[in-house]
Amino acid sequence: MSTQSRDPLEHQLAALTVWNDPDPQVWKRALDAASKQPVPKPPRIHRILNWPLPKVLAAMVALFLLGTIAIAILLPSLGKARSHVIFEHAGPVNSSSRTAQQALAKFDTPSASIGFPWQAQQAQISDLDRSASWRIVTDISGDTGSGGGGGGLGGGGGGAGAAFEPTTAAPRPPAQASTSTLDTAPGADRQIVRKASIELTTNDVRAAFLKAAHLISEANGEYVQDSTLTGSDKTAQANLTLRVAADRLPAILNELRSLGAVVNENTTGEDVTNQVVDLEARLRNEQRVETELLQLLEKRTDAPLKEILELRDHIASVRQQIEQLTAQRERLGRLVSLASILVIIRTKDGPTPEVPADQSLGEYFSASLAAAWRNGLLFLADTLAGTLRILIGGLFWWVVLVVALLSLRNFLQRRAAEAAIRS
Amino acid sequence: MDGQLTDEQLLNRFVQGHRDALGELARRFELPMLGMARGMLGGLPEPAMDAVQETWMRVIRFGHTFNGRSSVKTWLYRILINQCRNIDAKFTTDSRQKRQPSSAPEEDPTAALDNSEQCQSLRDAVALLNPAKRAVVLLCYHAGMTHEQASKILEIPLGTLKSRLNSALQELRASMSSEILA
Repeated sequence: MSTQSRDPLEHQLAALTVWNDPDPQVWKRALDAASKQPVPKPPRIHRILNWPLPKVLAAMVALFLLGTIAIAILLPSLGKARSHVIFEHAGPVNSSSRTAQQALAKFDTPSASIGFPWQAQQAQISDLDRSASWRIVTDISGDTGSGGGGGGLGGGGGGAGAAFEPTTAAPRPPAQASTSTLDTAPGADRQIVRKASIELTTNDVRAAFLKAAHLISEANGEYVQDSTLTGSDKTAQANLTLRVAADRLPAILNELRSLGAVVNENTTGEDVTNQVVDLEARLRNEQRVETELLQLLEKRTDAPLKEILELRDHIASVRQQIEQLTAQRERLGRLVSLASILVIIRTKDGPTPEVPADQSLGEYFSASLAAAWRNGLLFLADTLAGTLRILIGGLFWWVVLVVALLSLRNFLQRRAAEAAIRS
Repeated sequence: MDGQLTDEQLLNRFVQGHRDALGELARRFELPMLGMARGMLGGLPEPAMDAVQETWMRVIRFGHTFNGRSSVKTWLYRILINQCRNIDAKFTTDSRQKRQPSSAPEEDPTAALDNSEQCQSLRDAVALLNPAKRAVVLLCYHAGMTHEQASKILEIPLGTLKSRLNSALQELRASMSSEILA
């Protein structure tokens, strides 16, 4: 409002709020009075509340990133811990037993060539799940297993099938997954491929190794599939893979237990009945086809040469198929009749089996470094993926949180300012 | 150095512990605030000084709560207006007249102007206005104050302020006219 356009009343009103006295310097009195009263130190929250908005947003972003990274770091760890717990719940398995199982999974048997894909992937994917599904509960000390062949393995054929108990709800192997008449007849003669691993510690590895190798009975077709004896004294370690008659498996295991202290023992059974039945059915079918083709060949003696040659080719192809199927059935039969036992013998005070005896310290060190590098990269990838997931997955809630925090800040700021004016 | 700083920077410096910053703020605002308080409190200098002192006390105590949503000047005047209302509520018009010392003219060099009959009539007329209109009419004619600033200090819309101002001026004119006629 310009002073020129003011009327006398407005001039007088303006004069009412003019201080023409000397400056009394009231502020000094206020300072003196305030110095006599303790001035409360401003709470930290007020200083934070009065931060400028860009600073607040920067702080929020920093806090969010820190929190996200912390959560992302924790989540993979928790996930690993969880899987570890599940792993442990599947059975009392220590690191050495895992080693034994991995070695067991690497059994080089002819069965691999006739197709057990789940068996071949055992070591990489879940070396425990499958075995857990058919594990025989075995006391490490051998108390329950020592009497009468451990009970569970007593007798072959149909009797053995009942002794295996599914301990978890793990997916059944393909052999059990397919339906057949045998599945519905529990008492039928089952074809079980048995594998066992036993890890022993003893003071004399060499003696135990020799005794173990002599447990087999060559007369029964049993043999030592492979054997290695490495190191000496405390670093000595022996590995044997024995192929023994299936019905002698409990007895052999008992003998092995007496060779030293049992650190770990694991027995698995794999029902291949369906595969045997399937092979036999296919074989019968191919044999029927062969018979029919032969009959046809006999009847058509006056047929053109070209047709006869084609028929002979056909018969040759069918015979080849019959031979393959027969070989597969025989191999499967050998697997069923001969159980595999992996025996690992170490000295009592020897190094842990994680360090292979044939590996130098330098090689072990470089392998460890490579493993650490790879694990580190995997962990980093997990962390980054977790961060991204939290960032994007929670975007809506982050926006809500920011808006809520800004609103709260606004409210608190107003309330604090009101305290100065109104109180 | 302080002369180059804004009011907000000065207040911030004071909150950080620089006492001299309050002196600079006082140099800028104390006299206008004293004038405004005097206008609000019936022209009495003592209560006006009390109101301003209490305002500075609040600045000292609550300076850290200043959030920059308004200017420091607006904030100071808001505190001051509220302090004036508090003090005004304590004294009735009668007591104010009782407290008006007879020796005031000798102490105050501008007493001749303030105590002129016309000025006193206007003060009385202003005192008869309701508190909301009184604050509006005094703030709007206060030195260097714009209507926008006044509306922010009183936390009312500009339109409301203007309508209250017109209404207050009409009441004052009517009051002054009736006094002259009487």
